[in-house]
Amino acid sequence: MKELLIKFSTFLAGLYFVFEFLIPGTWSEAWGIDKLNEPISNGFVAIGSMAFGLGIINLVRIHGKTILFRSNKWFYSLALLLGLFGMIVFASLDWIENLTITKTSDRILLLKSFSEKIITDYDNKTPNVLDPKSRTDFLIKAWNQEKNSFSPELMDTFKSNLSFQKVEELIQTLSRLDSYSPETLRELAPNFAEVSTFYRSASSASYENSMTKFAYKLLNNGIFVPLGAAMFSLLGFYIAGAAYRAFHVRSLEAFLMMAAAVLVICGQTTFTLGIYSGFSEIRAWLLQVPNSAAFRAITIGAGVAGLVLAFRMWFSVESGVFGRKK
Amino acid sequence: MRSSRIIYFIMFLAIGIPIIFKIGLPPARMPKAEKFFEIVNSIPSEKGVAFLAFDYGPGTNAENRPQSEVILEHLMRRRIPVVIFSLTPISEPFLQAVPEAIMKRLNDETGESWEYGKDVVNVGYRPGGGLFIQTLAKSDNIPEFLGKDVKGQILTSLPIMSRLKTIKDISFLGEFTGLVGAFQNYVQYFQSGGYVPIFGHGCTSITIPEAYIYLDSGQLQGLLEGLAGAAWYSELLRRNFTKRAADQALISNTALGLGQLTLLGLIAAGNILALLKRRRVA
Repeated sequence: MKELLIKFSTFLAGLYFVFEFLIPGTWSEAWGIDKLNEPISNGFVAIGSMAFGLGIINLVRIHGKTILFRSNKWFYSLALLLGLFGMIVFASLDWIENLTITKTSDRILLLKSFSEKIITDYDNKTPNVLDPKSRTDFLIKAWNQEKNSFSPELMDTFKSNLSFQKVEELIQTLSRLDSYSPETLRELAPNFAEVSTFYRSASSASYENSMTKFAYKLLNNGIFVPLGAAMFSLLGFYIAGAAYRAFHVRSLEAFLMMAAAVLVICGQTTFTLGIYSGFSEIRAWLLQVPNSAAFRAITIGAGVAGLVLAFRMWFSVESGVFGRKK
Repeated sequence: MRSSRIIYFIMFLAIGIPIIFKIGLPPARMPKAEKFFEIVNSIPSEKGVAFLAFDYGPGTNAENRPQSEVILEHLMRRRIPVVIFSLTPISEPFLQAVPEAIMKRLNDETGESWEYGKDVVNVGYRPGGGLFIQTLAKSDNIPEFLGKDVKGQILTSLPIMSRLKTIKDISFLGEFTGLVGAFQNYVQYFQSGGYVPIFGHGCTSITIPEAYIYLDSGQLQGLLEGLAGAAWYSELLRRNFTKRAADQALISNTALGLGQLTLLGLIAAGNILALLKRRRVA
């Protein structure tokens, strides 16, 4: 029963993509199939995210066991898990910090919209809203709450900002007034937007110098990127060794291959083009004519094979559910 | 063992000398890069945005990063707003560093200002591969579909998004990768209702042969062939914007050229020695 259910679900999932891709756009629109694309896409992303979780659990189980039992080369497993969790912790901290800055900045920007809304609601006599003076008091309260959450260092930076000074001045004016003042609110609104932008750039600049950012950059730009690049760069040296030892012309095919490789290299290197500029045209012909023909044949062949494989998977004949049948 | 060390040392010198002493020789003329330059030059700047996909990681950074830099720089010089994203999680450091470096260079050189949110936005890594591209292309409100940028800002609040609603507002798509599978996602799915944006691709030297079939069929309009393509594009930028200083692409390309010549020399030496050995045995 379970097997049948899984086969049926696989078939249904495949059916959607066949319909979605093959039927005309107007039909897809009329039947509402195009509307399903976004939720299905999100579903696949969610399933993909689960794979990340499974991967982490698997790594922890395998390498955790190696470390606990001090198995052979356990320190490599320790380095792997330290790297994994170090990166997760600092990437999460970085994400949280950026999110906090964005949310505070958005809240300040919201005060601009609120100031404008008080004025428009009053002008349009919008029903069922509080009187403008009470709403202005809420605006003042919200601004003071935001301001009190700023760190002392940030407050020092803000003191030199003209828009911040203007906001403070206008808020104090509004606090002193006993009645609603649309002119002051109108003047206040654009300054909130300026303060929001300034807050974002000042906080981001201050965060750039923090320990969290330093650790994140060290792990990412200082270790991950150079190590990844170094791994790939080693290939250059191995290829050089292999070229010297193994690339010997022993047959006509080997000669043709080497001649093509030499001509392509000569066609894109300054030094050889200085000797004979015609290498460029020879290179272009080699890539455009024989290469394209051969690659197109390979690609079409691979495409047909992929289609056959897709059909086998769609009809659940490729392998048994959860792997090969016993 | 000893010959290996000698080969590695020769290779190290060939690649290392231009990089250490910053030797940047004029690059070879690349006709495909020239065509790409003309395409970017002809994109209308009054409306629409450009999408750039940085689908590369540290492994192909040496080739793909100079490509993404020159294209982003050209688009920004032309004041075409750019949305940057990636289908590869390991591209995160470059999604942030490349636009920052280009904005700084342009600000320093011209004295004009290029701003995040107005001229460029980074929407970060997007999971889902081909499915994401399919949904993006079919979305009737792309800023809402993408939601937030990498800093968590709501995209609809950014000025750049006023020029973007559907795929028809994407005037140019540029993609940089060494992964053929990632590139094919765009060829297959970055289209809707018969509309396909102008498509330019930056590939690594290994994937040039595969990219040519799409160029030949017209599915791809512009191609940067490895580092050599980026270096020639950089040279074209320098010729068109005379104040522009030479960049790392020229130095790296010189190192690559010397490395390739060394490789040819090693192949020749290996063959000559093998021939002599065969004659001696005979």
